Amino acid sequence: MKSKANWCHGAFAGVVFLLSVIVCGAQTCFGQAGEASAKVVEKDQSVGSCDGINLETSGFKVRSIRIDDPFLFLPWVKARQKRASDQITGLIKGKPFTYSDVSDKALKIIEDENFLPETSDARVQIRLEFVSVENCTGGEVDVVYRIYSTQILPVLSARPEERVKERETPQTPAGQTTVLAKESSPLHFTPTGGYDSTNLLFGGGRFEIKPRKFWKLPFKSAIIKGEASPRMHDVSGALEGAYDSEVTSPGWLAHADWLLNFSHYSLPTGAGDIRGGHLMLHFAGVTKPLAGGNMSLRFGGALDGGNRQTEPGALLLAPNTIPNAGFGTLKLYGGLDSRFARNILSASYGLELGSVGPAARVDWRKHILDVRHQFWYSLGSHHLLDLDSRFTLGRLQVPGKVPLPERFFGGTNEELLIASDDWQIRANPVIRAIPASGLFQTAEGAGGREFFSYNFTAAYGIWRQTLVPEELTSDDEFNSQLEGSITSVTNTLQVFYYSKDPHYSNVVSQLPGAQTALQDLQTVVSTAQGTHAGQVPELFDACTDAIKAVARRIRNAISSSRVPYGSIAEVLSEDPDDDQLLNVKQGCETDLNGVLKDASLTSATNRVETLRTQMLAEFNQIDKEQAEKKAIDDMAFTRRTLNTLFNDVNIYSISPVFVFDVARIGPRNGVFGGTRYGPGAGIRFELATTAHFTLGYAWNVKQGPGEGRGNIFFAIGVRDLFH
Amino acid sequence: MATKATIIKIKVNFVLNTPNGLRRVIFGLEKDTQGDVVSWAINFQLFERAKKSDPFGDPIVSLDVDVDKALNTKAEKASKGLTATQAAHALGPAADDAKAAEEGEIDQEDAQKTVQKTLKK
Repeated sequence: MKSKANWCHGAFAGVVFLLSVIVCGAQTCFGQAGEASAKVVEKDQSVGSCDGINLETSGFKVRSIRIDDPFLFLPWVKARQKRASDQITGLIKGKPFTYSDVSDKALKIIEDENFLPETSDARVQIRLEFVSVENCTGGEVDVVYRIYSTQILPVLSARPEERVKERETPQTPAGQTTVLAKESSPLHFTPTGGYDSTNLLFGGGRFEIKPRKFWKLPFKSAIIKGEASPRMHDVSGALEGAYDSEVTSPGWLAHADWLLNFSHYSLPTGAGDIRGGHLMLHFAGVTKPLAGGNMSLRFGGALDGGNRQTEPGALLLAPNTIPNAGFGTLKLYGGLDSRFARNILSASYGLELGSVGPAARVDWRKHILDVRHQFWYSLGSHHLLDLDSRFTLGRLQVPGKVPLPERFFGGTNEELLIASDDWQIRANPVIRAIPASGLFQTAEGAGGREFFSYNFTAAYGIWRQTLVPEELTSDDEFNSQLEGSITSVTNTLQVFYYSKDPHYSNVVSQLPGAQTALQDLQTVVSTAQGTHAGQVPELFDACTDAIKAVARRIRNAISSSRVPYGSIAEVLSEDPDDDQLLNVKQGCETDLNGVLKDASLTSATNRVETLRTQMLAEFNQIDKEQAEKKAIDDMAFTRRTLNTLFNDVNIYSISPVFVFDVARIGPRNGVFGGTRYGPGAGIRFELATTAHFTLGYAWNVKQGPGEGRGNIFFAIGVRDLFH
Repeated sequence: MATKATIIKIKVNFVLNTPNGLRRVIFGLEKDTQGDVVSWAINFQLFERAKKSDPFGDPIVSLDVDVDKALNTKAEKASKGLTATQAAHALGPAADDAKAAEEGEIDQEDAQKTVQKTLKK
């Protein structure tokens, strides 16, 4: 498939559009800044620390209340914040401070509004809440509620595509946009636009419908996206479905997605147009983390059929190349993703087998290798240095015929092997110094048979506002509790892995026997109580209570479809406060039968004790170290993503950018084909609330025939307008 | 001079799910500071659903437990993350007893004790 890259010529129209976006964003951003300034002035006028003061007994009143949430710019979060804020204001503002109202009731109001909404996919959830007081002056105090919640897709966060989202729209990987909240619209629209001297002014966007129910079809959303100008268009419509396994689910598959996509494009090269329309059926999967939690594998395939056409213009056809043809392809692809604390490495390989017309033969083979590396490091607090590298290699083999658009065309236009947004395998040489698809001339004619390209982008965030306030990210207690949240999820997973141990199964298989033994013991005790009527009633009660308590635990464990590890651990515990089998031995044999000396009671308690010993022996053989390691491995990506979201991500940042591209297209002969170099510089602006763009210029150091000296590159994305 | 904010309440919510995806426990640990006095409480919520495709909806049981002061140190430690044994106890006996208390099978007080016992695990 072909997709128009965000890279394009900068132009007046684009800049005007950009400015309007910035102004719009600035209203939000700098509006908040103004508010913050007012608060600083207010703070400056006050001097009272609240440390060590019991505000209730000291007779303080509440001066003001505020709710902070990093994602307040999202309309549904804002709506909930307003509702909660109104209720809390009515409850405590201007009234005497009471801990019950300020801490408990007010926080309950916030929780009832549920700032961490249900999502439609399986995520690991984290939620921290803080109530703080400040400015204890004049008998009054300001109260601040801080809510930090996030929900992460465990494995998918290792993808390079996801890392870009973390930077540009942190609300998306934080799970704040995939919500089932009634305030969230099922419609999503993100506009794009730009200008190119070849394409002219173009505009478009991505429109997505995510109904809460998609009838009974196996899809989650319908997507229409594209861009168009008087000279070009590139549009597609798709139905998308996906499956995510819970982090605690068994099996190796973490995520699967499928897509039915129709695309149509017409792209000018400067010397003629390449066109096509096709229908694609795509499936892809991602494994759970492997190799010590450092890597996950991706795999997929697609069937594709349609037509390719050419408006030749001045394009020279290479041998075995036809301008117009119907075609069919089979694409197979695989890859690996790896996410470390400050690096993401991803490599994908794709094979395309194509035929002209509806034939069961291979007319061309295309091999694509696409490797991406992202590195980020905070130089000073949240001043991120971002280094992105991408290396792409392609080779086309033509045993039969190939439609011209299937050959390699390079430039700012990016072509992707598959239509999925979630897995972007680049399939052409991208160089920001050459506009549109202007790198195409080879010794054979138009379109390359082989290529490689390397794209390097370095950016350093000079101005930024952190997503989570620095006073919290530098607070040890906050960090340890944040870490604790993910540790708790990891340890829950560890329990799941206990249950996979064969010794655990051996314990579970003995539970019914233990249940029967306890029932028999109870019968013996009841008989003995009849025989010894009126004797040691308290000892009979203690014995019966112990039996009932542990029998209830075992019953719950047997009837549960969950992993009843906790109940089994309780039953086999040695803590006398637990409902455990040792209490039965103590209460029925040692204490009660110590008085009664009843042989049948001894026999019944011994049977219970024998089973307890056998179960305990199996239970103690469960390999806990192995389970712990597996759980830590499974959660490695999640933990790293969480650290990035809380410690590195900014709500806005402005960064100078340096770029360096190398692209080669072949076969080469003299000035046709060969290698181009494109150093450049620019600026990147990212505002999570509104938009992000990169604007810059790259020089074409070694120009080929008909190529310019350089190119202004310009990429823009606007926040979802329906949010 | 601006004053440093004083935290009077911290609540950390541990969201624990069973492998079959049908039961969820939110184990909320709350630290309250009134002047120099620190106290801990547990907000225990149990959610269940019949199918994984259904939303969890409202909790079927919600229990608030004031933590015994003798367990303050354990509560502080637990707020930095539940151990595997604690998580298993929260999802198992604590959830079972919370549900049993809701259904009148055992006393509410007994269920609260079981929930609090999570800290001692």
